[in-house]
Amino acid sequence: MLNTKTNSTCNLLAITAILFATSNVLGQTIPGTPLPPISSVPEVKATTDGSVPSEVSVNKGKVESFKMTIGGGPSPEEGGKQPVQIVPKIPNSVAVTDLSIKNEVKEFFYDEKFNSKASIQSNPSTPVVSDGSSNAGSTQNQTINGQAETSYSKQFGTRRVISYSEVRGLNADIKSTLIKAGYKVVQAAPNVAKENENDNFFNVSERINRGDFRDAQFVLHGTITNVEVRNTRDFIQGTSDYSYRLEHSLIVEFSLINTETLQVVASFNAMGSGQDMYLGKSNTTFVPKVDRITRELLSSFSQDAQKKLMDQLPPVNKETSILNVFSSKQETGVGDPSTLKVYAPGKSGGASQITPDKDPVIIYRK
Amino acid sequence: MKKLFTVNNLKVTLLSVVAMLLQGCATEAVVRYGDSKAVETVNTDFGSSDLLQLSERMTRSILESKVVTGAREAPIITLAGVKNKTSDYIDTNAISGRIRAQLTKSGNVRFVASISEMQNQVDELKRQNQTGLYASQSTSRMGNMTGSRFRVEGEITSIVKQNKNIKDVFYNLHLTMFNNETGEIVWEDDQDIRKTASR
Repeated sequence: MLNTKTNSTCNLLAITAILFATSNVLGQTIPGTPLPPISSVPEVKATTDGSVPSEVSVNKGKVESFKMTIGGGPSPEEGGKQPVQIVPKIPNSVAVTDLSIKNEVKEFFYDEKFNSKASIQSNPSTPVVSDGSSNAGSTQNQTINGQAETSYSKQFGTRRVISYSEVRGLNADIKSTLIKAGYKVVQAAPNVAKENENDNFFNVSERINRGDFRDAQFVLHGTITNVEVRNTRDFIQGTSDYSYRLEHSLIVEFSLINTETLQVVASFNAMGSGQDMYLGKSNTTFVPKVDRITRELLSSFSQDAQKKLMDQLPPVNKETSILNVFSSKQETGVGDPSTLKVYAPGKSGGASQITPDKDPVIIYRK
Repeated sequence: MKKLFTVNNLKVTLLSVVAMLLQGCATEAVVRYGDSKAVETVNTDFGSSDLLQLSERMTRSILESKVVTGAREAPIITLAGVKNKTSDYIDTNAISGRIRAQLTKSGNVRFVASISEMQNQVDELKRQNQTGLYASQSTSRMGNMTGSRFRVEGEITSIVKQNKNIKDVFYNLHLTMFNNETGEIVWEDDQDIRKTASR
């Protein structure tokens, strides 16, 4: 009796699964192709644990076969693949990546090899002794084999070495700008280059799928497009002095990407430069202050990036903000000035009435 | 005794003559202050009246130019110098300096250090920034000099003609103002002076 109930339950589950599969999971049904009749569905037998139905095959239509797992984790036949889970994104959150960089270096190489190998082998043969003959005596044969091998090779030229990496420590001010703007900043997982890495290193969508940005709604991805170091010495006209200058400059391309839709909602190039200068005669040794250069570079780069980011940053969606769920009270003095109405007491001194003739009062936020 | 008296008399006479001569040589020239703007006509060489006339006319011309009158802010100019192409010795820095002083006083034009003044400017920056003697907050930092938008340069030329009785000298001061960024000539003027000396 119990077995019969179990069988009928499993049948229903199998049918539901087929309908679900044909209509939703594997795409739309083909017009004119009728669904397999329920009677044609083979009987599904439940296993002893009652959780895993067997394979179901449908010969008609597009659906040839499918597998479905009920109640348990992934089957061992699927190689332990986890089902794709749609995790709700944290609203108004931005994951900020470290700045990715492709470093390409052309270098000269010179390789010279010389190999020499020599061997001598001697095989003494056993002496042959003649007996009873007039020419009695012994003879001895010896075989000597010699072998020498030399090889020489020379290679030189230029080779291109490409490396991919991430530069840290340049984004702090950008993160602070996002925080001040009301966003929650999530630290992105580091992007480590694999062996024989290629430009796929910059593929943000792959990193989104990989979960590098956790549940952030947006990701601010920066790529260093140009780094330049200039060391100059220039004569100052009208003087006997030279100006010695070391300048570092940086250009970074930023993209703010929605992790759900992959839509680029903001994009800009930020640049910065820092320099140290020294005035001296022609024989002066210039020792640049690198900390000053870095400080100037960071300052100018951050200012440029912050300004451009604020120009394009989408406004924080306050309705979906977690913080606003708990504090629904509107701040004092905040609101649309155009909706403000001024009430004045009526002439009768009784009820107040709206005075439409007067200019509206505008209250600005501090 | 009588002979001795005669010799003494002679000595006294000679001394008094020498004293009188010395007193005559030590007579000082009479010095008077005059009007610095008065017309000076000592000879036909380039003189103070010429300097005053030319610089004043040029200043007025620059102040009336569109570069100055049409600017929202006082334009920043540098002086590249005036070349002397006359046969006389003329300190052309006196001409350009006077023009600059009058323009600066007007408040309608600003000037930055010219090439001839750069050594002092560089020395001052070096002293403040590289000696380690000054507090960093108070120093004038390097790399913040203001660049000029315009540049004024020019030349002074002369044409001299003379015969036995007449000497005629014609001085011409030509100044040009360039836009440093575009190289465009934004203002240009000539001022002339003719001086004639006759016997």
